[in-house]
Amino acid sequence: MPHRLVAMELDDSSASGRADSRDDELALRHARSELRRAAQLAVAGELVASITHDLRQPLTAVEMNISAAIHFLRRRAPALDEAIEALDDALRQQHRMRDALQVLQDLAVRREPRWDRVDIADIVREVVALVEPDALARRVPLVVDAPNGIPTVTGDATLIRQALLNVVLDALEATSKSTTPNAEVQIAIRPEGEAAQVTITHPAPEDDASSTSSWSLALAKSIAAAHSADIAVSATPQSGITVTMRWPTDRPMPLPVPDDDDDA
Amino acid sequence: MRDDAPLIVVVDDDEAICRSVARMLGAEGYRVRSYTTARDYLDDRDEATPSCALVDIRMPDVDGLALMRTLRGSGSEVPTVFMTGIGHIPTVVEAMKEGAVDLLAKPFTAQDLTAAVARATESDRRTHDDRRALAERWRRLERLTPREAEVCALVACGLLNKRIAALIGTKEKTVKVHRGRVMRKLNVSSVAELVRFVESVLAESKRRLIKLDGVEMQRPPIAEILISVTARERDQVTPGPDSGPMDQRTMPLSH
Repeated sequence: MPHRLVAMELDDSSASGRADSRDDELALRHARSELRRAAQLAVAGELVASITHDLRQPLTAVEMNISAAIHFLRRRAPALDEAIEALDDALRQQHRMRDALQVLQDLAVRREPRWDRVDIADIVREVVALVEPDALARRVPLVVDAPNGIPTVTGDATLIRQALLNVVLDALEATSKSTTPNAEVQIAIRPEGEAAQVTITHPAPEDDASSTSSWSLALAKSIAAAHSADIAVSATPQSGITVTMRWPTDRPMPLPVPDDDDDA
Repeated sequence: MRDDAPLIVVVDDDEAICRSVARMLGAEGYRVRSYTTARDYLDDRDEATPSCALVDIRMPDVDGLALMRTLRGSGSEVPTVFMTGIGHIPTVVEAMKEGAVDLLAKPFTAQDLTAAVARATESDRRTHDDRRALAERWRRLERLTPREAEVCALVACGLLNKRIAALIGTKEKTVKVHRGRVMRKLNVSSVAELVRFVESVLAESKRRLIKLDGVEMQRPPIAEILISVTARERDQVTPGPDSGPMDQRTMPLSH
């Protein structure tokens, strides 16, 4: 939670009699930069652990499928159908790994968040446009309620989009497997106190396995943390799984970080 | 896939793992059943007596260790191989303590998998063979009269006919007759074979029940005589310098 820490630093400095020397300000900026770096490393570490874990599963499945395919093909009378089935499955698992890697790459490319005033309803509409073909292909209805006039939030549009996209894609995936009649994914955005609240709801899966894969949620959480936003997941058999994100509306923009970052 | 191929059960909450591991083992000629929750397997367990269970340690709800404890608690001896994503040392130690025969760290190779499963099914086959052999011994033992069981125990302890006759208060000639019947009923052709027979029964003296292919078998009451007479006789004999009778009694079934 880098920004909360920064805020405390700022309070301390103003309480200690508004030290107006330029050295103090530089020291403060430096300290803040260090804090942010540490927080980012911690988040990245958590994320890498979770992605590593999620790579092991498909990696194992790919190995098993390819080995089985070789087995089927080496038979005196090759079992072509079985081999093709195994290779198709291997390919699906390969895609799972590619998705997980994409998350890592996104993270590596964007080292510093870029702060802006962001219309979160716009982002929701963008995400919906992005996933619509996928929703159609999976025959999952998307019910979107993104009215105009939601207050803007302070944040990095690309990161927020990434967080929402992952959660929505997971919801689609889970809903497409659901046997609940008229299963749909609902996305709604509402002003809620000092925040713009985005809720993503889909039916609870039959089994107890959580539908939101751990890295999607880890990524969304790390992005939310960088925005001092709250994220919560609730699950009930009646109303299904709901991911609630509360993005704080306009706060003062964080001061720019010292220019040892080359992507400023 | 043959009907008599060993049955392997795969339990992993990741469907892709279930599917691909089942596919690989199927290609190797095993019969496979897979389940995405421990509960599903427990509900379905009567349908199948597996030769090996491949179980993911980390699962929501009932995890791998809990599943194994439940299985052991209900008397199942299925050799269990754990699959694990992260090398969490305490969990691994606990798994080994619970009697896991092997541990596969994801991502594992097809060779790792087939080697672990081959070891597990081999161990299951040996356990099964041992059980079957013991059940057969019990069945033969059941044919003995109490007096014959007594003579059998004393012969196995290495006593001569004359000494046995004195101990049970009869003639040497009668002991010889008993001895002949014992050999015939137990289907052994030498004293050495008779000693081995008795030793294998004594090695499993704590076991009173055998489950074999779903059928339960109680130890025949006559076995008690064999066990108690041997124990009494051996307590009286001064133990040799290196191989005491207690050691022999707890010797595992190894030949």
